[in-house]
Amino acid sequence: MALLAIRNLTKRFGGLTAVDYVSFSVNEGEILGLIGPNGAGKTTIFNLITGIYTPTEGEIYFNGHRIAHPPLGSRRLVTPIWWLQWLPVRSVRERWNDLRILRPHEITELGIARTFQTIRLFKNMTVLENVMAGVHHRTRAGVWGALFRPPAQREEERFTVAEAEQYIRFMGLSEYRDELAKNLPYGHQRRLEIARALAARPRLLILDEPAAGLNEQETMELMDLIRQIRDSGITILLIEHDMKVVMGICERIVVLDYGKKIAEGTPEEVQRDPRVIQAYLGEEEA
Amino acid sequence: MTTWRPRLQKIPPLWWQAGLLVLAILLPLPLNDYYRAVLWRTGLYAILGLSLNIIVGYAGLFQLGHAAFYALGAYTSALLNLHFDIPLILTWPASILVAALFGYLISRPILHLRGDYLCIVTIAFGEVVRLALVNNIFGITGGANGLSGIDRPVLFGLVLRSPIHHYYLVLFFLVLTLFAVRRLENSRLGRAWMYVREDETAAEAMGVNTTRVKLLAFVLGSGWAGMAGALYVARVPVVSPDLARFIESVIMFCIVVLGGTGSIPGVFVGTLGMITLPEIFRFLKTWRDAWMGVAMVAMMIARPEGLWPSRRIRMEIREEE
Repeated sequence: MALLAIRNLTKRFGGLTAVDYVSFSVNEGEILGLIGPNGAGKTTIFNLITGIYTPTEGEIYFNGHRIAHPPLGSRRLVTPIWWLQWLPVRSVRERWNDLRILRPHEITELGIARTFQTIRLFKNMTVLENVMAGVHHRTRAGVWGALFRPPAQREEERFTVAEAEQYIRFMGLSEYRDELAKNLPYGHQRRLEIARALAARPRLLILDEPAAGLNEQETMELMDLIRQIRDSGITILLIEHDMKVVMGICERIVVLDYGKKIAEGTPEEVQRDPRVIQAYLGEEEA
Repeated sequence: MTTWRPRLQKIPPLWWQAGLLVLAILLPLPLNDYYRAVLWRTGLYAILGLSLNIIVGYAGLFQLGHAAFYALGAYTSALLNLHFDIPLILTWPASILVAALFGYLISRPILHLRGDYLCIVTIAFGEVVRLALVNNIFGITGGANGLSGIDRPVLFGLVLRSPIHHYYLVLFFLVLTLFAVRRLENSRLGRAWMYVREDETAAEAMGVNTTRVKLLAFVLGSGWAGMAGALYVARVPVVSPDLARFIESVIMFCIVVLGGTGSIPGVFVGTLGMITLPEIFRFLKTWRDAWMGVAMVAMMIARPEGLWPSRRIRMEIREEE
């Protein structure tokens, strides 16, 4: 069953079409690789899935929810539900929820967590505090809880720390628990980003070039970790340039070139595909 | 230098906190009324600084119209007292609510703006409030002259009149504020503010509702500035649009930045530098402002992170060099 389904997804920035009618789906429990030459639109697709961009055309479904679709734009003026969105009526709320654009944090709450291509940790905060960010959307304390610290809120704080520590241990960062994120070696920073994303308890984990900048040894460890994460029941979608990683752990691969999908299949099928070979080696042959 | 610091750090925090409180209570006793009033002003601006620090320091949002909320709180307290004869103390919750409500209304549509754009809108809002007050909006604000004839606050039958009464009143609220901001800082909400300040996109991707979190910073900071406005009315029974002058906002902003953005001791250092010292050196007249300018420029070159910065902010600022 498809956990994530992308249908005719298109994103244009002015005259540039970054993603061009791409459709594919990610099945529950698999590791899917998204590859393609630089500028093929891979990261744009990730940003569309996580709600940082809205698509120009097309839709994305996650676990039955429509999480991305083109915004209403000026059509909102002729859309009755846009005018009625404030009404506290259940049927109106439901229809508006289907029509409105989800914010990135709402998509995270539905069960998608991501890492970034350029590491985006909270650099001046400790490893523990970074991972606690992932637990944020699973806890509720607000101003009242902060000021009066009722027992429930203290319990929640303990829960947050315990959860964060669990993922720190899983990623092998225990000894750096109170170290500032920016003082970590590069490879550990990549791991910390994954720990932070895992702490959000996603059903789908999106990794944007997790092996970039890692050495041989670290890459092997990372591949092991990704397999372990998948075995714990989390579906994985990843972008990666390191072919050893992609061919080694992905069960299926989608290849993009100039925003278009040019191939999809198992690593063996993709490697034999003439269009893929041309996209990657075309310049040398010409 | 290196030997006494670890020794000082061994003293339990409760001890030096209690020590500082006793000092603050005893401080005005040997002083004359003028210096007691200076202390009152210091305490009032420390409260304002701490409230602005929630917005500027914790959430990292530029707010250069904070005096507007201060004025709104003062006018709310004054108007309720003048028109409805409500005792001043009972108007204080209304001051907080009105300032917080305006904080909500003004920040809701502009929170997606970042950095300097947000700053410009807050300056404009401050001016809108001031001009509305000057132009006697709804015929109730008394125009440029403001409002006068406001009652004195009465606390358990004691009419608060002399500077020392007001000093202790402000001190009480200052301690309350300190308690609150320290708890906010070390909470789920406080962490969320820091995530937003450090990297908004990453915070959003981790499931932090950034709009809600920033809105809360604005509402809490504005509401508490309203409380400070009410405390002003409690001592000075005259309010005028001067409370919302742009320079007031700038002073509050400088209090936060001078001492070190996001740092609680920094706010006190900032208040000392922006309020207490200029008051003590009043005899220097306009030379005071000139020196102030020189000192600010020198500080921005030598110590951009502030005089007593929080550990984190120092790193954030020094990093960019």
